[in-house]
Amino acid sequence: MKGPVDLVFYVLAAVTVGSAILVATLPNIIYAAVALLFAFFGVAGLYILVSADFLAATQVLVYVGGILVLIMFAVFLSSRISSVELSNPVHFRLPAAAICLALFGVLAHTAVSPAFIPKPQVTYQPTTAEIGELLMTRYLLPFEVASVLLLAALIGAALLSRPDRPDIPRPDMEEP
Amino acid sequence: MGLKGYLHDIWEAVATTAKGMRITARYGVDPRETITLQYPEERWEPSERFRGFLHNDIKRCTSCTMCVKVCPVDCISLESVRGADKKLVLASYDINIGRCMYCGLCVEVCPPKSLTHTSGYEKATVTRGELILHFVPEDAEEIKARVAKQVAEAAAKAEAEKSAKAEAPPMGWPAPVFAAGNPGAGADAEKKPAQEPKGEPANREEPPKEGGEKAE
Amino acid sequence: MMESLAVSLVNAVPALSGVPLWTMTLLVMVVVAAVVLTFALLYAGLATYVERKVAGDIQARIGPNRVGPLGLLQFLADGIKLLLKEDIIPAKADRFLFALAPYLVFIGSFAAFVVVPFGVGLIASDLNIGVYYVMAISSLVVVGVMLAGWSSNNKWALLGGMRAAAQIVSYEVPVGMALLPAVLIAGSLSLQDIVRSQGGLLGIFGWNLFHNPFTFVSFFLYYTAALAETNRTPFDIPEAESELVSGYHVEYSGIRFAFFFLAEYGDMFVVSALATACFLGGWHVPFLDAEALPVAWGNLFSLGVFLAKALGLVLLMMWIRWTLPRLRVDQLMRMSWKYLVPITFFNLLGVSLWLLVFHGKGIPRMIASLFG
Repeated sequence: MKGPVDLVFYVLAAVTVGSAILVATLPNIIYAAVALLFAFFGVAGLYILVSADFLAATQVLVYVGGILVLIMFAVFLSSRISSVELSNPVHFRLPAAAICLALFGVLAHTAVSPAFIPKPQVTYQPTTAEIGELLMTRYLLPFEVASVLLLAALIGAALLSRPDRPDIPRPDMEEP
Repeated sequence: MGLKGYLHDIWEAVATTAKGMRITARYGVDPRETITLQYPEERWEPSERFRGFLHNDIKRCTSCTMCVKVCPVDCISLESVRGADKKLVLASYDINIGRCMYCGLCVEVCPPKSLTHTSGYEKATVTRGELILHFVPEDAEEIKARVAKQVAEAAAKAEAEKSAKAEAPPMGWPAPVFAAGNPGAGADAEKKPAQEPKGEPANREEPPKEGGEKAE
Repeated sequence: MMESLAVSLVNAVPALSGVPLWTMTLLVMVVVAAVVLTFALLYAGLATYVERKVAGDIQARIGPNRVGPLGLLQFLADGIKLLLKEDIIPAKADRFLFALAPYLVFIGSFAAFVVVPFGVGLIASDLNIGVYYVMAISSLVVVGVMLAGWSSNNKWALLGGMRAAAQIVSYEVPVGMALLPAVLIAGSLSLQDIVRSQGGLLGIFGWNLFHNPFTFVSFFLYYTAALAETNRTPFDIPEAESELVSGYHVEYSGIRFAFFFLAEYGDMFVVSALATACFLGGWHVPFLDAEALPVAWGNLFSLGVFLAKALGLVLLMMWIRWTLPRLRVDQLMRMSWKYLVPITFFNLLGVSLWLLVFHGKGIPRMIASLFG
């Protein structure tokens, strides 16, 4: 498969990897978040290239619309928001490098192992219906377990953010 | 808040929104509700006692400087010279309407009722200088020179009569310059004696008190 | 669709036979994008004019009427003014992000035009995941707004950005849940499929709006939540003039401000188009079968009907804007989490049960089958 599709792939891969490196190295945490945005979009583009449109949209919706916004929200809510030099200090370089190398080894081994069956020709086929069906049949249990976990997190967050003593009225939350 | 209150809240939100939208729709659809006046083409008739720009009818003005004295913001300036017939001749009468606050005191105080409020209110200018209204069309210096000439002629005539009548009392009046109002006019007044007709300093018997000084 | 268009173009014009297919496809894509963008800009310009006229009428004024006949050229004058204005970047602002944010907002808003089904065959790209794509791509707007608020280095902008983010994230839940009934009925996320599922029955009673009581309520829930997602009054706390001056775009001027402005109007249209496609029968022409007509006429009629419906909803947004006062922050969150979210979930359940019990038939279809 030569031609524009290959070119698009390399561009997207470069964007993804380059942004990911920036995320890890940029000292300013907001800039790191912006680099993360581009990394997410690069990954979404790669998904589209392999005809996984639903996955690409989910990637954007969940990671950009959810995770990234939450990260930025957390940064904004931090007390040092007024200083523009929000820093992202580097600690524990050696252990981090060791873990990354190990992870890279595992991934590289997986990538070069012959477990993948290359498809002869990538043709565009909608995947939404299949994903929906599989989620409701074969992968129902993992799906439900994940949702219960998220529900637990939701309740936990609500509990944590409540005022410590319920008898103290919260005037800002009351209808006048 | 029970279920009943919850449902009531929803109902109230829907009902009040619908009510508000009905009202705005009525205003939006009914062209008679539009009260905008298309200003440059159509405009409101100012009321009878509207205080617009000041206007001085210089034919009736006696140069008494009452308006200058009463003006709280010193927006009126006035220059006058004593004419040959002993009356004050208006050399210049300027009103700075950029400074005027339309209190109407000058109009109330004007003895000959020459100063009036018009109904004018449109004055957009490029420079601030254009906001100073000049009521005497001629140049102040020209008027002064002319009046001085007349006075001089009258004095010469009186002199001639005096020499004819031998020991008659002096009749000729000098042309003392009266200026009032803003400092510029006052500075002009200081220069005036130099331009006075020469030869009759003795004739200046009684310079009027308000003359030559700023009426502030 | 692009590729088929490119193929037919290459076949039709002999001079193009030497051009490789992918070049042709790219060319067609660029042309379609240009057409959609032109429409979007023209619409945004005219919408500002209509907005001001509506505001004028409702407030017993006249509105713009000096530039051109009836003031119709006002938007051109405004556009030229915005282009010529000085582009100010505050000294203490983060220059890179300050410049980046308007583009993110603009792209997030206008990328959604890709899947808007303007007519029988008039859609830039009939994505299989249409509705989902719109929801996903509009999350770029949130990031852009937050970055705009932060990079301006202004406390009002920051507060506005944070409010916008909190609001959009909260209201994405009811928006998605309120759109799901239409997806359930059509059995597809593609907007073209959703529109097709509402055909027949005089072209009006096939609408999802009249399918069953739950979808009827769903439409209004979607419209309300979408209104909040576009940051329009009464949910415009991110740019509340009386509290935050104008929120996240306080520091923006000139063409960068114009991007935010266009994005807001683009959002309004996308939201209305989505409501039209999902609940109001999309491009289905009343009393006519647009798909059975000759291609040109069918497209023309369906385009007209679709635009009429969508722009009608935009007009409704303006009407609401000049009627209702702004909500408080806590009221806004209360509305989303305590009212809209539970009701949309209830609705979704209701629609699902309805489809299960009545085998996917709506009330109008049942009545129609009653009379044969």
